[in-house]
Formats: sequence, structure tokens, C-alpha cells
Amino acid sequence: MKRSWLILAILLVLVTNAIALVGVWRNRAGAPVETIELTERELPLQSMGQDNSGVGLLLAWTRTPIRNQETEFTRAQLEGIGFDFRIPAETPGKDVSLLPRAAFAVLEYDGKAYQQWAERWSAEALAKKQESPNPGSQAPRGMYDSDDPQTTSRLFPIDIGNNLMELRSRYPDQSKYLIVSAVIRARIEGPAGAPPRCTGYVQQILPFYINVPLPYSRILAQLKPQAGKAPRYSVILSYGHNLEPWVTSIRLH
Amino acid sequence: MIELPQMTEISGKKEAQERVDRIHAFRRELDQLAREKVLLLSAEERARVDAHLDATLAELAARFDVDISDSQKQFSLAMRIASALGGLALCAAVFLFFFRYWGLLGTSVQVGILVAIPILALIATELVSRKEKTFYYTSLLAIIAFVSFVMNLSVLGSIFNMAPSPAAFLAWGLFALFLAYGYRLKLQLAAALVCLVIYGAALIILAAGGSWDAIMDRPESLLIGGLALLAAAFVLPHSRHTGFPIVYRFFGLAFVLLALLILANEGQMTFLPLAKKTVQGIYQIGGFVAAAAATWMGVRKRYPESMNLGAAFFAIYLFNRLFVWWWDWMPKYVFFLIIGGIALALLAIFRKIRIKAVRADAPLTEEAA
Repeated sequence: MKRSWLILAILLVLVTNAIALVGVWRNRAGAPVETIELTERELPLQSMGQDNSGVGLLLAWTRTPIRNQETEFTRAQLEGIGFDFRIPAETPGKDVSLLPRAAFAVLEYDGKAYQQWAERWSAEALAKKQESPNPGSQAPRGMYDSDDPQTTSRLFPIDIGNNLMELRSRYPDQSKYLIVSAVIRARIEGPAGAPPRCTGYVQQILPFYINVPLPYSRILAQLKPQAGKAPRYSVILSYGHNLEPWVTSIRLH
Repeated sequence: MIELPQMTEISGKKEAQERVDRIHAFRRELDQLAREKVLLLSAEERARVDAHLDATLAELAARFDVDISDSQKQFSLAMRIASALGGLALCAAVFLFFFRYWGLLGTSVQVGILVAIPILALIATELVSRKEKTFYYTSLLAIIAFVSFVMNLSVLGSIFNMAPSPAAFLAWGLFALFLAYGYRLKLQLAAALVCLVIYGAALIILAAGGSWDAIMDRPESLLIGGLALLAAAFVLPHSRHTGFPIVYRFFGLAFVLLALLILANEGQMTFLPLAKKTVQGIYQIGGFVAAAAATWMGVRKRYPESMNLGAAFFAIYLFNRLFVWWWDWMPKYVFFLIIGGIALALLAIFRKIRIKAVRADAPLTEEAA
């Protein structure tokens, strides 16, 4: 009796691993679907601690508008991936909870969204500096706190959708646009009776952890994670059919 | 050789231990009856009874490795704790050793190690289980096997940068279920039930169009899983695994009562097309009814886990409601005074229930009276 359970358990281990590895093979079969070169600003090192000799990167994107009560996406974009913002007239927004949805997100790299954000950040920082009674006493801080246009990630979510092909046809430039799997969260804000204000943002990018295998890991193994400094390396990421990335090249600056 | 026809009816260690406990109670009662001069056995009769009981204990101990004294019971408990802690500590050691040298290994070697560890742990579990009756080492190795399989799929996903999938919970749940039923391990059954409820909840969220990991955004997905576990406790045959229904009931009730508690306070997190206040009202009543029903079922059917969990959640629901209703406007000393009064009232109610249960346990005594 015990032996049959043992055989089932061993088979389960083998079959599960086989399914996972076939998925990996299918993802990487043929030419990559997307290839993009990013720097340490967009792919900072993950702190692993002394007991872990592995090397990993985190895909970082800038999630700026939320702190300023703005939205990354319009109501039409959010409805396009299935969010339903229809609520009874007397219901306050806070009494509605929308399920986060899986969708594809388009991340623009070093483009218009980043330029606009950097300009606003600089203007805000300058205004704060001028308002300060002793302008020289502290470094100018923008509305985005620790984020700095010179060091933060230049990946900005600009669009979402459920149809990957359609998004690819709309954003064909692979050096500028990265299409990833993401989880989108939306909210309805505003008091009862007032027109509801619909906001939404990228809650998570999947996957956001990127393993660096040998031999590339040797290049990064000597570096320690850092923040707010000039990037020290560039990484070429390839994405396969399942939108799962892998590292194809790393060079130190 | 004393003939022991009852021994063939004993199917597991649990029943054997129960018989040992009955024998000890019987001996103590026999001594008490002798002191009260109600039942006086002759020296020869007493010797025959003692010899029979000693032989029964010896055979039970030999066949099932049961505890035949209180000190042995204490040691068994300590060994069970040591087994669980040892299993977890060894898992941590395997993890840390693995990660220490992880970066020095090529991808194919990493994958090979990840697949090999749970299989080796499974084989070790089987080999050890054949040699021991108590299953302490078997339990320890089964913990290692399960944690290794969790590590296997998690790390494999990280190596190849895969997006997390709820299917992993199905695989982990089935793996733990095989271990639980193969070796009669309650800890593995608990792990299996938790994984399977999470998987079921993820499927419900996916069917509703959400991202699968948003389970806590709709606690009803867990409530359904909890109800399924409760149904399984009563529907599934457990003649060979007599200790398992208690695990099904405990986790079934825990998921149901916890989900009701969340929904009673956060009515917007519902699938129901109703206003927040209405949903909260429904689940507040549902919570009280469910907790009371669990307590009642525990008393009626003699399920201690059901009774304790039901009573604990009834008190939590009650204090939660009182806090929401009164805390802001009532003077704090009045609030705590009322809480104290309610606690005393609850104590009186539980005492009455207990007395009823005791009477139900002893019908012969009442008849005699």
C-alpha cells in the first residue's frame, strides 16, 4: 500500500518538473519575441545576503502618479481589460472593491512618459527650493521623494490590454517598448453621488525577479547592490513566447 | 499464552493507545472499588485479571509501540515535537547549503539537484518507515520531502523566470496528500489541505476574471474551500485513517470562520451583488450562527476541535462587534465592564452546556439514580 503512494509521489515530482521544463523549452524555442537592452537603473541587483551565492536582478519600473493621486491608465484602458466601474449612484467609491486583473502592460523605456515626469519632477523640486526659507540648507526634493530622474528607472507603464498581438502592432519598436505580463489594480474614488473617479495602476510585473545564470553571474558577482548612483552595467533581456525573460548578454560600463 | 481475540480488531496505533488508556482507567477504578468495598476480588481473581491486562499491554506495546505509562506519553510528545522541529531544521540546513553554493552551479546541475532531493527524501521516508512503528523519523523525513518539493518548484520557477502559477499549489497539495495517506501523517495532511484550499480559491478567483493571487480580495473563495473540507470530513471513508477527520474538520472550520470574520468587517470584498452594509450584516449573522453551530456540533458529536474553535470564534465575533459598535462613543471603563459581564455570562452558558454533555455521557448513572 505504501509503495503505491510512494510511486505516485515520485511520478508527481517527475511529471510536474517535466511540465515546467517543457514550458521553458516552448518559451525559448525559436527567435525571442522581444529583446531590449536595459541598465542597472531598470535592472538593479537583488540583495541576496551572505548565505546565497546566486545573482538576481529586479525589473524596476517607475510608479509615479499614484502618490499624486493620479492614474497610470484611463478609464477606457481599464475597462478594456475587463474592469467594470458601474456602481449604484449612492455607493461611495471606498465601498467598492475591484478584483485585480491579469493583463499585458506596455512599458515605455526612456521615452516621452519619462521625459514628462522628469520635467515635472524638476519643476516641483525648483518650486520647493524657492519656497524654502533657507534654500541652500537642504537638497531639493520633488513630489516623488527619493526618486531622482538621474537614477530612477526609465521604464514607465503607458498602456495595457488583453490582446498581445494588438499591443505588439501598436508598439512595434522593441528597443523602446517592453510588453510584459502584469497584474493591474483599479479603484473607484470619490464620495457617494459624485461622478466616480476611476484609477488604476500596475501592481506587479510578472516575473519581476530575473535570475542571472553562469557565465553572466560571474560578471555581476563582484558588485554590491547600490541605489541613486550611475549605472554600472547593461543587460540584454530576451522574452519568449510565454513572456518569460532570460539574460542573453551583460556588459560592464 | 493468554488469548487476546480483541487484538485482531485493533487497526491502528490510535485504537491501541485508546485501549491502553482504558486499561489504566479500569485498574484505577478497580482499586477504588476495592477500597470502597464495592467489588472485592479474591487474590487469585485479581492476579488473573492483572496477568491478562499485563499481557494485553505487552502485546499492544510490541505491536503498535504505544505508550503504556504517563512518562512514556510525555516522552512521545517530546519526540513528536523534536521530530517536527528537527524536520524543519534539517530543511533549513538543506536550503542554506544549497543557496550557499547555488551560484557556482550550472543550470542543468541546479535542475538535477532540485528534482533529485524530493525523490531521495521520498525513498528515505519509505525505507525508514519499514523499520519503525512509531513513525517519528518517517514524519521527519516526510517533512523534508515536502519542503524539498516546495523548494523544487519555487526555485525552478526562479531559475527560468517563470510567472507564479496556482498549479504549484495543486502539485504540493497532492504530494502532501500522498505522504499523508501513505504514512498516516497528520502534519502532511494539514499541509495538503491548506495547499488544496488555496488552489481551489485561486481557480474561483480566475473564473471571476481576477488575478489568481488575489485570494484575500475575495475571502468567499476560501469559505467555499473550507465548506468542501467539512463535507469531506463526513463523506470520505476514514476507516484506515481514524485520526484524519479531525484534521479535515479543524481546517474546514478554520477557513470558514476566518472568511466569515473578514467579510463581516469588509463587506466590499464579496462576490455578492449587494451593498457593503447588507453583505456585512449577512456575514455577521452567518458568523455567529456558524460559530454556535460548530460549538453545538462539537458538544453533540464529541469533537473537541470543533467545540473549541467554535467557542473561540463566537467570542471573537462578539468582541469584534462590540468593539465596532461601542468603542468610539462609550467610556472605556464601561466598555470593559460590559465585556467582563458578557464573559461571565458566556462562562455560565458554557458551564450549562458542559453539564448537559456530562449527563449525556453518563446515562447509566442517571438511570441508577
